[in-house]
This record gives sequence, structure tokens and C-alpha cells, in this order.
Amino acid sequence: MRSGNLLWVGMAVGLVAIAPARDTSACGNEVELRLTPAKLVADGEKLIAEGKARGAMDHVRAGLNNGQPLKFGENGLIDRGLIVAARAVVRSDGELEMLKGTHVDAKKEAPPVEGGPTQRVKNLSGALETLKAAAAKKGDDPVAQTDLGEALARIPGQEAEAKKILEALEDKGVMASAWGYAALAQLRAQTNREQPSWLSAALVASEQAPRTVALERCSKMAARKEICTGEKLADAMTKVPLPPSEMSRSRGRGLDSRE
Amino acid sequence: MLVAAVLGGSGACSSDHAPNAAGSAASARPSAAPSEAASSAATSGLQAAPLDGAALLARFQCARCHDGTGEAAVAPEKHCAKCHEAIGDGTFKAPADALADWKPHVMHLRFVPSLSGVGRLVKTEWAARYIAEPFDLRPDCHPQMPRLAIAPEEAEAIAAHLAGSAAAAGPAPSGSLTRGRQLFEQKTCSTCHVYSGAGTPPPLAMDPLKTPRDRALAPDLRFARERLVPGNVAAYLLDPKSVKPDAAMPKLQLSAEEASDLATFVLQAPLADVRPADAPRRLPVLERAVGYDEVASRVLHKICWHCHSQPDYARGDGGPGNTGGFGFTARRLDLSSYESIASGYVDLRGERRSLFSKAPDGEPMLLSVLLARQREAAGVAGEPRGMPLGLPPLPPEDIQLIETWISQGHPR
Repeated sequence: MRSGNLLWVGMAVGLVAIAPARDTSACGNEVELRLTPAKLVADGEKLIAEGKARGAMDHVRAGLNNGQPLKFGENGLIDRGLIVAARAVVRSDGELEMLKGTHVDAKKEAPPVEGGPTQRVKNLSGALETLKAAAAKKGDDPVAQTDLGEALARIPGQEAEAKKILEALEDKGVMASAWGYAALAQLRAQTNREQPSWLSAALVASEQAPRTVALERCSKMAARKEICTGEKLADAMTKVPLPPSEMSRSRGRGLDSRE
Repeated sequence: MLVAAVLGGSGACSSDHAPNAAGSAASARPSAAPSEAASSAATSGLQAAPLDGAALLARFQCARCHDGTGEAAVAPEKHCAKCHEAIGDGTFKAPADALADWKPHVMHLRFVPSLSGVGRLVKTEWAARYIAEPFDLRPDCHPQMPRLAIAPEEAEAIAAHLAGSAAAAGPAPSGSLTRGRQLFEQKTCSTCHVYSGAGTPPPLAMDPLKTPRDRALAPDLRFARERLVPGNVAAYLLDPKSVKPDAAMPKLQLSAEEASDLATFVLQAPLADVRPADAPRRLPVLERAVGYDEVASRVLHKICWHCHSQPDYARGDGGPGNTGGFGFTARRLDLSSYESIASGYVDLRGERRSLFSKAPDGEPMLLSVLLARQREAAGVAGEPRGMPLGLPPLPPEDIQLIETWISQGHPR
């Protein structure tokens, strides 16, 4: 009886040994890899374009579960993921926290952050760091500049810099996203508390026409028209389920696997 | 994501205005503007040093498409035809579903003529003209020699380098035209070759995805008399590989006399006038709404982003139309996403410009380059350089879609 069991085990091992490799990437895991990090990051990009900040962050968190330090500039996919994460922080208006640099826990959902305005600015500043790194890497790239302007527009004291960046993009007709136009329209409606109220009101009035233009462009470019209000969207923090994993088993923690 | 530069890049070149402009004046045949180095020598009035054909071959990255250049082998992922071939036969390292998705897009982009021994068969002066002013020489080959920013003198240097020290040719054939025509039919040459204007039957229509290599590479014989070294044509017909070791042309069973007759027919048959078809009529803009997803799936992601892609999304670089290549400088035009399209491109002065800003012809730049490619195919080349570079023009319906999208404010 015992030898019979051993025979079956031996046959099973033999079959496994001669079985053709499954469709895996180069990670060496015996996993059917259909849910790739690239797919998750790409899904995150789509979600964040629609303003679904928490869903985007969760997808990127799952996609970049690589057990390695997440450092901007070393890997194209990580860069993409970190940019999505930074946008998610910005479009949650600082309610989400930026991905930590290392050992992201895929099981942990992006938590809303308690702590009021200080924590909000801290989170936005964390996202800004990544967006500045992206802008530095990509030079005058309008996508990076638009992201930067959008983030700066939400940070107290950075509005003038944001407006300068966004208006330069508008002048050239290369604003990369509806979010950039929405931020610019918001900036044009803001009063400056350091100026006398009559001057501030006059300046806002003079910005009415360009603000309308920005809103019109925003409306054309937006995946959802609500983006153009410039406010955090009602569903920004709504959870978006990750796609069901088709992986049967994962032993490794490489970029190609997700536990 | 696939980032194989499709037979020639895209463009970034010589106009301050256009992302892909070349040439300063329209001409009956495509003309290329001098590359920046050649222009600089010409305008400075200095005696230019003799051009180094080998260095130019390297600069224009001819070996990314052509074998037989004498250049070092190019990595497979940088070699257009080899990359497409690997995708076609399933050996490219990518998930199976991705391969299945890519395959239909590249099966007709696998064949490029080898340049090995080309000097024995093709006249050097013709090759120089063709390199500078390429046209559709091979009717069943979907990709065409791209219109690179190669100055005439650079083209001459490249052609001379490729010709090498070709052995002297024999006398031009003086066989029988009548017997040559009969042999053309008996040997079923028109299985592969178009001989436009000569009254021979055209090859049977074939699914472009299934066109075999030898047919895809078969040139229109109309151009043979100006293109081929007359004294080597009969020898080539007798035994193609004796003249060009990697010839795609099969060896026919011919006597020396038959080869002479056939060569005479190929080089001397009377030709009827053949004009390239006029550029197709521009269709009116559509009345329905057109969004980005439709434009991307029908045109931008199907064709354009091969050469205008985002390096972070792809293997390799961003393609010649983004990060540079094939002699083009980086023009930072990335057509892979709505945001990157909105970001425009970098002109020769280093300024960002919108893809929807007006080109010299008054049309939005994106539309202008597509219309220019239609004109090039009709034999009229000028500014800006037509897109898609090295591929047939987009059909009028696709251009109509793009024009409609632009006219509606290029919405998402």
C-alpha cells in the first residue's frame, strides 16, 4: 500500500517535470500570469483619468507589489505607477497618502488619512515630490508639467507658481489634461487674501473670460464633465474592486506576481 | 506594448514648423531636404569633406531594416523586419494573447530587401536617386522605403558605398523581344512581378497577410531599364544568386539564349504611359460625434504609435518619431495616449507646439501630414513630410475621422 502511494507520487512528480511551461513571464514562478503589474498600472491610469483616486491607488499598490524599494527613475513601470499614485493623492485633495518608498503591502487598501489640513498638505507635498521628479526627468514634457501645475494649485502658497505653469501650457495649446484646465479655471476664480478686496475682486472679474475658455477646453478634454468643477469628485474615494486574479498560485514576489 | 519601428521612422526632420517636414518645394517626385549636417556645409560655403557612405549608413540606421549593409548586426528588438518576423512566427518573447493581438498588424511588414551585392544588379546613380527620393517600387510590399531626411549628396555616398567594387558588367542583352514576352508568360513571371505599362497580366490579388517574401519583394519591372545594370540582367535571370547571393528571385530553368531574350523584354518592352493615381478626394467631416477612443483604435494605436510611442510603456525606445532614430532628431511626439497627444511635439527650435496648430498649408498639423502622404503617393512630395512614413497613405475614411475629431475640438 505504502509503495503504491509512492508510485503515484513518483508518477505525479514525473508528469510535472515533463509538463510544458505555462504562460509565465520571466519570474520562474509556476503561475499563470494574466494579471500583470503593467495591466494593473494601466488600469490605474484609466481610473485616475476619471478621478477615481482610491481605485487608482489600490490598483497601483497591487501592481507595484514588488518587495523592492520604489524609487522614481529606475524603472519605467514603477515611474508610471508612482505618477498615478501621485495624481491619486492630488485628486483626492490630499485625503490619500502617497505610496511609501518600499515594501508596499498589496493587501492593504489605500486608507483615507485622518489628521485635517496639516496631514492633507503633507500628503500633497509627498505627491508633489514625485511629480517634481517626473518633471525633472522629462524636461519640458507637458504631461509632467500639467501634473505639476495641478498639484501646486492645491497647495497653499503655491498657487502663483501653479498658475504660471498652467498658463504657459495653455498659451502653447499643449495642456495635457482636463485636470490642468480645471485647476487653472479654479485659480482664475480665486481671490488673493493678501490683496485689498476691491483689487482682488477686480482681478477675478478680469479673469472671467479666460476662465470660461479654460472651462470649455476642460469640458472637451474631460473623461467626465464633473472634473471641470475643480472639486474633489463624489466618487474619488470609492473603492474599485481589483480584477479577479486568474493566478492559481504564486510562490514568488517578483514584479510578475501578486499574492 | 509593441514598439517596433515600422520600416522607417517617422518624422522629425527639417522644417521649423512641421513635425515631419522635409524639402522646401513641392516636386513631381519625392524630394528630401538635406540633413542638418549637409545643409550646414552647403550654407557655410566651405569645401565639404567627402562623405563617408559607411558612416551615413550608420547614421540613418539602414541596418535596422536592411540586411547586407555591411553594418554590425542590429539587436532583434531594434530590427524592424526581424521583430515583425518573430511576432509573426510566435517566437517573440511576449504573452500569447499579446502576440495574437499584434500579429495581424505586422504580418505584412516582415519583408525588406537585402542590400547585399546590390551594386552588381542596381545602377549606383539610380540607387542614389531612389534613396533620396523613394517611391513605391514594390507594389506588393506594404512598407516602402521611407522618405528620410537624406540629402542628394549623402544618398550618392551611400549608394557608392553599397556598390563597392562591383565587377564590370557584360554587354547589354540584344535578344528577341517577342520570345522574351513569350518566356515571361511561360515562366509565369507575373505570378510575382507587376510590369506596369508592358501589357502583361498583373499578379493575382492576394491577402496582404499571406503574401510570401519573394512576391512581396518583387519590383515593378517598369523601372528595370532605369534601375538595373543592363549587362548583368541576363546573368541574374540565369542564376540570381550568382549575381546577388541572397536574391529572393527564384532560379528559372533558362538557356543562355532564353535569358538574353527575357532580359531584353524586361529592359526594352514598349511601355504605355502610366501615371500614379491622383490623391483621393477629401471626404466631408462627419456629422456625428467622434471621440478619442475611436480615433485611437482605428488610426493612432493601429499605426502611428509604432514610431511615436512612450518609452515607459514599451520595450526599447519611444520610436524614431519620439526619441529619434533613422537620422531624425528627437521630436518628442508621443501618440500613445490622449494626454501625450495633447502635449504636442518639439519643433526644430526646441519649442513645444500643438499638434493641432496650423501647418504651412493652413491645416492642423496632424491632418496636414496625413494629406501630405496622400500627395506623395500621387507623386507630389513637398512639405510637410507625409505620414505614416514608409507606409501607404491612410484611406480617406480614416483621414475623415481624424479631421472630424479635430474639428470637434479633439475631445476625449
